Amino acid sequence: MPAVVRRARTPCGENLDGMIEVEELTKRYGATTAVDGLSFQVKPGLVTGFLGPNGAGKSTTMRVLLGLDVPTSGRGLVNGRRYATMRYPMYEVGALLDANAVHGGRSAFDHLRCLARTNRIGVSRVAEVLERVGLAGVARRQVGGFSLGMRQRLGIAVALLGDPGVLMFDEPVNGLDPEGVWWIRHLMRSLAAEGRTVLLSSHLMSEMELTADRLVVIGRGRLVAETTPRELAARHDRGVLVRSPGAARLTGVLEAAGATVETGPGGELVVRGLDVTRIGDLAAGAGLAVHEITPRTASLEEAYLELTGDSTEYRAGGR
Amino acid sequence: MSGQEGARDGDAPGGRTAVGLPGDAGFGGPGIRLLADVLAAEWLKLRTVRSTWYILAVVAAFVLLTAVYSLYLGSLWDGMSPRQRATLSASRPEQIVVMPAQICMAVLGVLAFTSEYVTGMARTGFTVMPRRKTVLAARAVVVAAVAFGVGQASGLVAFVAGRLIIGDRPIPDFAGPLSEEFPEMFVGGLSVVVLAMVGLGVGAVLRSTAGAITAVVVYLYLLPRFALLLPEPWNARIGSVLLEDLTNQAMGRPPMAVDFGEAPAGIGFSPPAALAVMFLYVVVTLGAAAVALTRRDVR
Repeated sequence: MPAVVRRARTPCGENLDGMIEVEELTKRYGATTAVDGLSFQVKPGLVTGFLGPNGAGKSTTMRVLLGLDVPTSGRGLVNGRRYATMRYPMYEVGALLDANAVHGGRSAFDHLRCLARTNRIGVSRVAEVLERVGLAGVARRQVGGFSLGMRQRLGIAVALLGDPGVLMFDEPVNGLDPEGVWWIRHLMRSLAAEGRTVLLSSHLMSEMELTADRLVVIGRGRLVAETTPRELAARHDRGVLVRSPGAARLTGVLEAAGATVETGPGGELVVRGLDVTRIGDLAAGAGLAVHEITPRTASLEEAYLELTGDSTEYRAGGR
Repeated sequence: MSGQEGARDGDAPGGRTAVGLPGDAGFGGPGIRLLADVLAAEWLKLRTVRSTWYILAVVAAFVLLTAVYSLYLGSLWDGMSPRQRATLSASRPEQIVVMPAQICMAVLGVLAFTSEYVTGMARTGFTVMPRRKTVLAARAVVVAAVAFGVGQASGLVAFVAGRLIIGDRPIPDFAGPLSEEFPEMFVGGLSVVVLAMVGLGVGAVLRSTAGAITAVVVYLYLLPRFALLLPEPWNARIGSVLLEDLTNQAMGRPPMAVDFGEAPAGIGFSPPAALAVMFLYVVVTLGAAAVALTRRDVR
């Protein structure tokens, strides 16, 4: 299923390539280095997961990309330009940084109308996005009374107002119920399928496993890995677990076939270098019973924890 | 495939019909049109929060209070002997209303920025419109326009209500025609705009509602009281450059210390000079706001 190629233009007629580029970005707040020489690219037509433990620098990177923070050195570009130089950015970039960053005294409709008006977007479009995020029924209610989930939807409505080709969402599933999580996942997938660039930050690997095509993993402000969920899981392959009453003989057979075999404390074998099918065939060929044969692929969660383990800023005492 | 395209239905090739792009046609250059868009948005923002209407209601309540004051003054006059009447010196309602209008509009100015910083709306606002100086200019224009309207209207209504209530009682200072009173009333109304701009600038710099309102009130109404305690002629010299006395001087009155006989006459500014100093206040605070907005990261 090919992605629909978006060929958008700015009001000034520039072609938009939909790229997000972070180049040697460093941001310090006083003595704290939030982002430290970070470089990566985000491409259109894909959902890129931006992963890292809390405090890894995800939000700071997004704040620099959106022109809210000035980098200490390096730069962040969207469509090849600095965000702060854009005149009507809503047509190019939609962003949700913090769902609670709203004035609670305004109605959802007024909140969107005020923001839309800065970029010359009319009320009919406001009504459309309210419909799309499922808030049309509460449009006249004050935002202060909204649940976090409703605020997330409102923030996404803001991002969608200008129908932009590049979208950034910072932890959008926080506070959502399962139906809301499902909805976001589908929204992200469909936005990317329309040819848009989607950058989605999270500290939860499980969320990315189902949503992201690519992963940018950071820890302590540095790039840890630029990969795909599949690659990440494969890289953390942990062999095949085999239990057999004839473990000693089986070890010999498997090692003869080129595997490396470790014996665990309970007599189980951990086999590397051969896949499940081959191990099963070899055991059968040798006339050995096998009670269990399990591939031990690390879950993405584990792989992620392994990757970011060194870079977690705050950690429970037990580890 | 069709599902994906379905979401984009209504889009023209290479463009979007759902969202009309700002075109290049129309009045003025792109910078002017951008400012016009942000102005319209800021006006919308100001109208769509309750605090604006509460503040306007407070001003209206003070105007009403001046009418009560006029009623009281009228009945007082009626019960006075000719000797008492000859020595009566009463403030006029359009003078009394200036200070509450100043405070209220200073608070409106403060809230224009601090309400956004306190709620986090500033992050959202500066994301959709990253031209921070344009936002500052638009916000200042909108708040100044409201303050101008409030300053002039509150003075005028207090004046007219006062005259209607006092009627033909020949109270000193209450008999002149509007044309004679108008310059002073107009200047009083302008001082309200000055206070609104100072509030806006301080709010943008301090980013905290409590901090900014405290700073403005301390400066406006506490500092002049302390200045009065200074030895002469410094009580009048320091006082005359503070906004409360600048308002007095712009309206043609001497600084308070001189007025109270605690400093020699002759110290202070002429009304045009006082107005110029007040304008300088606006330039300095809005300049500080521009520097703070462009140099600092958005919180």
